[in-house]
Amino acid sequence: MSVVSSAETVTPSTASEAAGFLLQAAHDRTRVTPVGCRSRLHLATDPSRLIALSCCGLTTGFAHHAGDLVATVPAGLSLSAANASLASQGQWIPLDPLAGSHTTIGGLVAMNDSGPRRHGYGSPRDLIIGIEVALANGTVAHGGGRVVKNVAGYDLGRLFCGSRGSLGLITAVTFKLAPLPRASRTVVAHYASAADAARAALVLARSALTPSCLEVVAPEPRLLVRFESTASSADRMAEHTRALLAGASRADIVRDENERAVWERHHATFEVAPRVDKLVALPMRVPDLLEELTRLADVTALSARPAVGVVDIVTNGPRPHPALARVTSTLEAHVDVVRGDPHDPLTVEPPRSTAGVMRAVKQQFDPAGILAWPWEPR
Amino acid sequence: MDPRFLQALADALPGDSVVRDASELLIYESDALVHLRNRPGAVVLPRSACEVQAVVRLCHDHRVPFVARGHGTGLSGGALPHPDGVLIVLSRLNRILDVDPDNQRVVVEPGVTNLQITQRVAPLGLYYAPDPSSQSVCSIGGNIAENSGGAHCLKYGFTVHHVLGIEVVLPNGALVTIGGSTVDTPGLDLLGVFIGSEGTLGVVTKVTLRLLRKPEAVLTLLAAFDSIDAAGGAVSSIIAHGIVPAAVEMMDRLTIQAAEAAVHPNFPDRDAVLIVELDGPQIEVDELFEVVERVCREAGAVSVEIARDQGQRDRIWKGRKAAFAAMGRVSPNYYVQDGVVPRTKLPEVLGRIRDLSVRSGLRIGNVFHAGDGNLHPLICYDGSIPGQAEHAEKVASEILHYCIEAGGAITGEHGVGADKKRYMADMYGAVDLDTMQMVRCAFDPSNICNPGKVFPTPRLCGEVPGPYRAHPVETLGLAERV
Repeated sequence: MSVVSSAETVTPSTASEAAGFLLQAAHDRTRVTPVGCRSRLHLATDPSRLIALSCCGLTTGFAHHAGDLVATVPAGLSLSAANASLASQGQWIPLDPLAGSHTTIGGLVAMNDSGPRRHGYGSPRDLIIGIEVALANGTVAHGGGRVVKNVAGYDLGRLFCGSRGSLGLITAVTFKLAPLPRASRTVVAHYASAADAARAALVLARSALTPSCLEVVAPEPRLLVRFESTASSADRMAEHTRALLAGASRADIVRDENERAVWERHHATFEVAPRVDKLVALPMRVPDLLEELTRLADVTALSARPAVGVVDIVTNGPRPHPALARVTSTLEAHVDVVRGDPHDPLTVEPPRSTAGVMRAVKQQFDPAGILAWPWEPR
Repeated sequence: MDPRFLQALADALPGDSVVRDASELLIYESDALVHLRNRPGAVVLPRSACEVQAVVRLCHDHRVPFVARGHGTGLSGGALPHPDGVLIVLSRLNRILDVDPDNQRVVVEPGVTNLQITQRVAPLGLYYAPDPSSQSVCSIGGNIAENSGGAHCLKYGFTVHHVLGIEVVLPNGALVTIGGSTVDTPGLDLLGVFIGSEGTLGVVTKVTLRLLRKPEAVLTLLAAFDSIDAAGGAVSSIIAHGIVPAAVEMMDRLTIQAAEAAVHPNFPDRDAVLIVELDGPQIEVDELFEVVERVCREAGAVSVEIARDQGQRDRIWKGRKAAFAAMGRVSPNYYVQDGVVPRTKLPEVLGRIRDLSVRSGLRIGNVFHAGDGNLHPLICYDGSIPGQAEHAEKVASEILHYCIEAGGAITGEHGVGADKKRYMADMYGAVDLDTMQMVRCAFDPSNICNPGKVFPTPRLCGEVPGPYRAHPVETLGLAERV
């Protein structure tokens, strides 16, 4: 086996090697954490007792079927590398994860990581049409295929999407692609508070406009509305949006370099933050949620997709503010740790009855219990 | 069936909810795939999740198989009853429980039809996106079982993209909620794996769906071509221009003639018609529609009709959606196939189907979702001629192999059910199927929930198929068979 090993990380170069390693680990009862290239070992239960299984070496097998608008991407390729290649044919995987575009495809799918473009394009879960995984029983399994429409058999792709390495190592993913937009414009609207910006976002969401991003950001409360379409459509929709945002203290339309700078600055905040929590709520509760969150001193930045019902927050220190529990409980929201210790008391367990089925699935895929189970408060 | 079990069933439900009379059982012998029939041991028609739970608990305790059925419109025998089992008919769970227009949610029971949801929320400017051709009669519970799509799934996705949560009675009788009213509920995505599992993982009793806002503009055109290849070229060119239409549908001459005879949509009598629909903001749709129209003409369209109003649009869609049923106008019997090929392989596979039609002596009509490569060949035969039904089935089977060879799938929307389970091993490897079985065993270790469907060889959880082969875990001495 040509596995490149170090003391803590194993980097197989094929799916079979990964499966072989997992089988041996099951035999040895060694705990394994599947990781991307920028390891998030803090997701592990006990870092001293584990080996990281990296998908970084899985970089062969990229296949772009441009005429079919699909591509198979090995798990070790970064999203930016995949998109650079797809762009030559005018297509892309329309995702902008919080972890940044350098994130590996394996990590992206294992975390079901998404960012502002989720408003218009969805999350990895919405774009997966096929998957290859290395399992703890030493086998390499496939689900789905390379056609967009396929209802044959169980959807292993969605089962593994967001499974956070708890069932095996994702080794390749086939995505439904989108055409690269011909133009992009962003309306940057300033508000007195993030809650006001969210209320404006929910009004816009009820209009006929179809932005790809409808994002509230803070601490400097703004609403970012992005249109990705033909140049004239993007221009006209941006102008129309600006006219609709009467409550904003100021609204500018940015494009080209200025637009890129707005979004890069926004992404940079979340890419480097040591701790990011995702709060999920009904869309209409998001303004109240933002009002409460902005009162918490250690929430240093937030980014919300009100129409989706998702708020990402950056907090000072390793643990979130204790008041977060009260806020989420009052507004029937729940917290999901995106980056940081997943086993803090705020992490919401699945409902007990459903957790039983999840554990049964986990037991089937990982009977020796070598892979982590991140949904259990300590 | 065991009389003690039947008595327990009768005790658990109101008198009119259990059907045992042989003549009444007749109507439940098949779903819409009528050549597969089984008389169920008993039929129950529960009115609540509690009654469903009571039935499933009894089945679990007595190890009696059960099959859930919506409105019986499935085309793969997914709701084919088990002869020694209970058929749980969900048509009485047919209430729309809650409409939340602000959050764009609706909560319904599984027996509500797909179209009823859109009809209920349309005055609010909302709609439910998946639109299978049978939407006026198919149940939302059945849509979840099959992960139904429809003509507009090219842009808007399938059922799995629009369901937020389900209440389910698991095969052990537990009532659980999977997902919820928000996105991203904690833990594994059981919702994603449940949707499309064809009733093999539990019985849905309540559903929370996401609604969409009606687009500002919808523009539809009907382009006629003198060859399917030319129409296919237009589809490729539309995609190459970076346009993702709301729908792209194609019909060939035989299906055009059938639709014309049945519902008179006034389609041109040509080799192929293409229906292209764009939706979205008016300013965007107007601009892109001009491109689509130009592309169709450049690809050789002999006529392009643009629907000027909702009435014209409805007429065009009526012609398309009636295509299956309309085949009865041109053939005494027909076999509906459902397969998928990568879009770029459409010309090649359609060519093979044409050759097959000549070779087999059976006429084959083609109506398909051209945007996503989902074919629906309609194989015409005369059931009164001995052997011709079997011949048609063989022809349909050969077409599925064309799909697999082209890198496609054996079903795009009708499901595997009882009809296509024999092809699963042609599409997936043994390891892939064993891995799917692991999911099934987690939900239904007793194998009582719609057994004998989807997978080619029903087997007990933990059982190794075929000649004995040691599991890798055994080889390493991690576990041993007892």
